[in-house]
Amino acid sequence: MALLSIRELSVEYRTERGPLRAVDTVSLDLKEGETLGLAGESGCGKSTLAFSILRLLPPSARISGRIELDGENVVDMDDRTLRNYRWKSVSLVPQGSMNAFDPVRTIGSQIVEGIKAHESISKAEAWQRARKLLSSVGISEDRAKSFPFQFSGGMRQRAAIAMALSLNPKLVILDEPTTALDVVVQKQILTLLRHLQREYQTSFIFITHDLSVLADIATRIAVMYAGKIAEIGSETEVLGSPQHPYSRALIAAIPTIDGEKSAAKSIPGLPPDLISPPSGCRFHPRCPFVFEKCINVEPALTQISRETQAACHLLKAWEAK
Amino acid sequence: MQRSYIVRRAIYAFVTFLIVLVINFVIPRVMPGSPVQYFANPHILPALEAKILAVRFGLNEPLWTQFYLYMVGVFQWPPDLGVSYMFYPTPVLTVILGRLPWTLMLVGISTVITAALGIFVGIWTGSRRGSAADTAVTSASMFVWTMPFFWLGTILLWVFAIDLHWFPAGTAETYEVTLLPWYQQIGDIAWHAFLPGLTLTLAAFAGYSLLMRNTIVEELQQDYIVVATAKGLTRRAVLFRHAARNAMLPMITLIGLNLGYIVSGALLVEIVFSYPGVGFLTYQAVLSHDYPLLQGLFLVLSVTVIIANFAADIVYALADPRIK
Amino acid sequence: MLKSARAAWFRRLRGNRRLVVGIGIIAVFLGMAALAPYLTPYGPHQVVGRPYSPPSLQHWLGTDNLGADIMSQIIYGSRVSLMVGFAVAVVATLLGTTVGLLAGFYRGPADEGLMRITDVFLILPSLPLAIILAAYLGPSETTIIEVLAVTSWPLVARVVRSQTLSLRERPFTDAARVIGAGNRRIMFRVIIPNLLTLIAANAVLTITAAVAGEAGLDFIGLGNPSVVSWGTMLYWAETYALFNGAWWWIVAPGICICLVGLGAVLISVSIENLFNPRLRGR
Repeated sequence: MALLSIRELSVEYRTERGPLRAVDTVSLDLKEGETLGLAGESGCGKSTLAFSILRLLPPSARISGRIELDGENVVDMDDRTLRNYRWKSVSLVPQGSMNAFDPVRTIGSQIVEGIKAHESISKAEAWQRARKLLSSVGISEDRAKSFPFQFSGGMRQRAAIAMALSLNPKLVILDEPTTALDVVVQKQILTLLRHLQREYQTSFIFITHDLSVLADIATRIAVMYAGKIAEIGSETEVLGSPQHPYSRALIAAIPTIDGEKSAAKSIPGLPPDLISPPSGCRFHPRCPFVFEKCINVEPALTQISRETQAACHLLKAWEAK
Repeated sequence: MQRSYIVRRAIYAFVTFLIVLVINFVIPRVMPGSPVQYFANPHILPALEAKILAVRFGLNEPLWTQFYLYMVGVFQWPPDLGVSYMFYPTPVLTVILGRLPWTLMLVGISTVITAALGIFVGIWTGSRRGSAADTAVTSASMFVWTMPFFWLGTILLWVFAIDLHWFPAGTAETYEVTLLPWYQQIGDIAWHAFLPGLTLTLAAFAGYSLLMRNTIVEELQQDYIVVATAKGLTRRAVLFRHAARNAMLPMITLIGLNLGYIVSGALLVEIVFSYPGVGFLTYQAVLSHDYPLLQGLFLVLSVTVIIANFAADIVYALADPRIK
Repeated sequence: MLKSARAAWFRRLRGNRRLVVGIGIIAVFLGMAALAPYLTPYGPHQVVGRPYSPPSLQHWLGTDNLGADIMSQIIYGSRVSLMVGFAVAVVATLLGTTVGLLAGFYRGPADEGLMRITDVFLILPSLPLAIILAAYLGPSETTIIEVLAVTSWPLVARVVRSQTLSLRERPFTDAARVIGAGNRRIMFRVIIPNLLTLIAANAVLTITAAVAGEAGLDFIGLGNPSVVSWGTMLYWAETYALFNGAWWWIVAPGICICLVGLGAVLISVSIENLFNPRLRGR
């Protein structure tokens, strides 16, 4: 039984030039304890998809479809249920956690605020929990009364992670948690996340445009392009032997330290305009293997191996034996 | 906030004060006509007394001596700011201090109300940006903002005092009431101060509400607001506990900066309502060419504003933990 | 590509209701000032009717205490009021921009010194300062212009300095320096063009503040009462209109000042929005 079940989710933004479909009929499942890496170029819809799970989209967005967490449909939730569900069932570590915290209040008070919004425990208890949470991410307890500007970027990131775990949610969404950090701190954060994964059994959705960070941490990876899923499968298969031309190009673009020196491989062309996307397969203008069917017919997401699905006309459907 | 910050701001305020002193000294001496003519008006005083005053103020001395005497006068206790013509021989400072409390009360209370009104209207419109309500309220408040203080005051005076008789047409209190104990005077004083205060508030609040609105709009786009919403806080909690709290910081600075503007407005309003504060006094001084009084008024008003700005700086540092 | 960008820009200009309304309002008053003799058969001081007569077909805004037509006074008065406004704006903008530009560009002790003085003027209540200066200079419209210019330039200086500081750090300034442009050239070719929008937006606001300021100084009696401007109208109206029921005499000049202010704010806000891509399309 999946923890999170997304069915036919579409998100449309009202813009001056017309409706923009940031996410186009996406379906996916997430099991308990799984870590899903959500990868793709800027503007492919990964953040929109993840934010819709918390219904944190701006008012100009229209959601259709189903998002079910533990059986409840998030899309239909009324305000009260929504507020209850937020942070308790699903929480968020935003991109650029430099700004995740209100600059005029202490870190501790903001963690406490989240706790007290859902549980009726005393202030002292809440602060106790906050301090413990901070120490579990490697920040000493006496820093709880510090202000955000007194923390380094990496510390703020870790504090944001601690805050996200404060109510022991089933799912934590991390939006580009390593992007703004240098590699040393990146590694620290990834190690921390792996440790937390094991300890809390939380599911993670890890959004990134940098596939290489997903290697150690994700159990499954979904590659998105132009609002649709191009390929989704186990980490080993998607990273090791990607099938969709887009995923293959993305992975090939990752520079490696070992092996022969070669020129960096990039994907030619630009991401498409989502107000009037390309016909047929959205990747066709940039695909090196394009043929006639690609221009006319949109490929459906089909099972191409036991653990992986992809949307490409080149690939054969997998027969279960 | 460390002590060094307070010291720095205090020094800054003091330097500003010194510059004001210099300006105050320089102005009559660079203006057309001789200083004697201003400080010892021969039309009012007989020639001999005029000469005595001239000697007393050292007006025939070289400039540096005059400046020295002037500074000595200011830095004694009580400060000597000269003698008023209109109320001769009462010292200027005495005259001013007699009227100052009325203005302070008027300006003080109305600044508080104006800021509060501006803050709430700003939060209200900022959180509804782009909506019809926002456009209506913002446009209306901008229009009221363009009204000159004294014109708005005259209109209010006309409609509510002269036409409808709901409020008195001037002064600060009814004579008979001043004979009563102070706690019974409060109602009467408030009744007299209502229209002047209302004028000040209406004419000035949009300055605050527009800034608050813009700041709220900016703050609401910050990441920490997204996180606060994600934490399951109600819209009101997110708005007031987080966005508004941050938006207050530039407001505090504005309140300090705007004081000069409100004091200027209060001057005009006092004239319209014959309110016996320093504004009305300034008007009388202009009419009777009472230059020493005018100079003294300028100095006192400037000092008041400098002190208030200093206070605003301190409040700001208390509110923003990032100030060290 | 450039042509379509410019076409889009003009489309936005025309569709920008705020700007159109603002310019319209100001244009009405400018027209009033320019065409004064053609718009009214009466002179502003000419006695043409019974004193204190209410608005009528003959006298759209009634008459004053001497029997002169108030509408004519408004029309002729617009000349003086607007002229004062423009004159003050020109002087204050030139002075303030120079100070702000030099301070922001060269920084260091010059900046400190200039800004310290500017700040003093900013903090001080402008009306008392204006009154003191005007009291010594004697009542006349020139005095008012001079005095208002003195109280208006500091704000311009502050604003220009801020913007200069940030422009200084932009990549295109560095690029100009790398090419070998000297300070003067950078100031004139790089910084000033980018300041123009800000200067324009502020100048418009300065005009309206000066119009209101002129009215205030006239009201106190520091203007020349024999000159006809909206301010002097209010000066006379204050004494005579209140107790003679001539509300139109007070309302009319004030509304004109408000409308000019409104037009100016609309234009100023539109200028900022037009040229600031960040604020666009929200």
